[in-house]
Amino acid sequence: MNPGRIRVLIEKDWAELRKERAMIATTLGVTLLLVVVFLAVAIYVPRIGDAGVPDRAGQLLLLRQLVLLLLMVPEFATMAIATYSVIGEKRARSLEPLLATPITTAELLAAKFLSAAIPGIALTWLAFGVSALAVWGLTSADVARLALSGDVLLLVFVIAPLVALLGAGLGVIASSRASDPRSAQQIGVLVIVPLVGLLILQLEGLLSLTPDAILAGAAVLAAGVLLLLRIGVALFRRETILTRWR
Amino acid sequence: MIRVRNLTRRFDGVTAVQDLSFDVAPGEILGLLGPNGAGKTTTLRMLAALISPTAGEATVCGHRLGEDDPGVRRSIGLLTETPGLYDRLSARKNLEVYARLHGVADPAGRAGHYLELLDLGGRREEPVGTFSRGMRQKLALARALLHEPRVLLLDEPTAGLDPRIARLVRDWIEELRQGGRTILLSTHNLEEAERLCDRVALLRTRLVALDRPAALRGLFSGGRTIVRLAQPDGGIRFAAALRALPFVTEVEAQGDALVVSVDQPEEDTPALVRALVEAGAEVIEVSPERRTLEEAYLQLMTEGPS
Repeated sequence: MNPGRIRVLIEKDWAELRKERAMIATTLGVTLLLVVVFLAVAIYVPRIGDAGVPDRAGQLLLLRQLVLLLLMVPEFATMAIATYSVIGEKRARSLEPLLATPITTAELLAAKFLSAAIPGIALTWLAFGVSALAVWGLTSADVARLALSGDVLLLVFVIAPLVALLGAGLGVIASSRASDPRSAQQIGVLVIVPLVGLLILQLEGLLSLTPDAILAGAAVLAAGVLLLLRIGVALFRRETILTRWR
Repeated sequence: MIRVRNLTRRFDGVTAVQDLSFDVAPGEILGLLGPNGAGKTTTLRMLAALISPTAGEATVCGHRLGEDDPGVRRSIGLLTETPGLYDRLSARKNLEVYARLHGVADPAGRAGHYLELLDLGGRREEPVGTFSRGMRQKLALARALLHEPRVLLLDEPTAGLDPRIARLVRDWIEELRQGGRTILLSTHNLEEAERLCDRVALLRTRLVALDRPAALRGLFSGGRTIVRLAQPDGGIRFAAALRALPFVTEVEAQGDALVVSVDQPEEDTPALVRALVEAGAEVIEVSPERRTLEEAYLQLMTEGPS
């Protein structure tokens, strides 16, 4: 794989993405709104007694769920970009000249994975930054310390990027096989399902996200991303795309 | 520069190209001429290593299809049927992306050079979506040239362009040939093929004919000679004198002219003229019947070569 060619394609995709100002504003706005509403509920709803003393245990329980919400954040942006990535090239008829360059299918798909995943990851980290500031400023020091502990940081900085890449991979593969972004989105959104499952399991107390469990999960996700790239290359039918796309 | 042997491509039981063989010499322009569905685009796509042949083999600049596809892609510049540009990006950005993908040493400089060459320098920063069809086609052609390929594959380079822009594009293709590029060009435009191409391959899934445009026209001239006379009724007056000649197979009188079929035009024409002069005809002009490439094309496509 030639990293230079991957970088060129990522920069091209982002240059096109920057022209989608309405989409960027909507995604950013909705994400931050979700985070702010969740934080408000988590910080201000749990109260004890008539005086309304903050219930630290309740706050902590809700704030821990916020992290799982943050894991879903990149999917909003990533899916929108990934599911249109190859279909967009097909619609613009730009895939044929692109494939006539020395770029390989693996490089093309790796670029599409990354160009879709990285904005989602950036959005997650932005949402996390806002959340961390709010938690430090609006809760007690011990709640903030426990809500932003090492395992939370692992989830945000290791698992979230891998989840974003996995979502991007599914979205890009769906985009290379589908002829319509909506059907690609329906396939790509499947990556949300396991995250919702994790949220429910944790709420029910059936799952504890310890650092060891998170790192093991990260290894599985990383392997999944690489496997997805290989599957994507195997499923990418350049001849079918060139000769059947109308 | 390009060597094609028995190239065949089938799609789900439908044969798009069958048993195609030809060579293109360095610096030559070979035209692929044929109706829709004749296999022109499929042939170009195979030679650009975009789709694989079902059978047969080809080499482009010494790189063999299926064995060294990256080498093939580095050697060729492809102008696709539709420009396939990134509408939201500027003309400069469009070219720079491709220059970098091809590993050009100074992508910005090369893109700028071609934008100036094509008279697009003034609109280099404007989104391509605002460009006219002619400007888009010029930009797509520049994109095919950025990495200075030795071989150009041009799919319908002037299709849909207004006559002025089409002429500019043809002039540019002519300049590219003079610069030593080898060009394989698909076209519907017979005039374009006749003007630009050193040789023309007529395709109808198979190769129907391959020769210089003049030779293809000659395939159907049938050895007919046109004699123009000074006498306005000369055609009718002197037809009988020619019918008496043993080597004349057919005479057609057309006003002041005679259209004469002879066995061997180069050997028989002097005797033909002598006989006319002896009969009292005043000969103004003797010329072989010229047919247009269009007539030859239509006849080849319906009947095949004689």
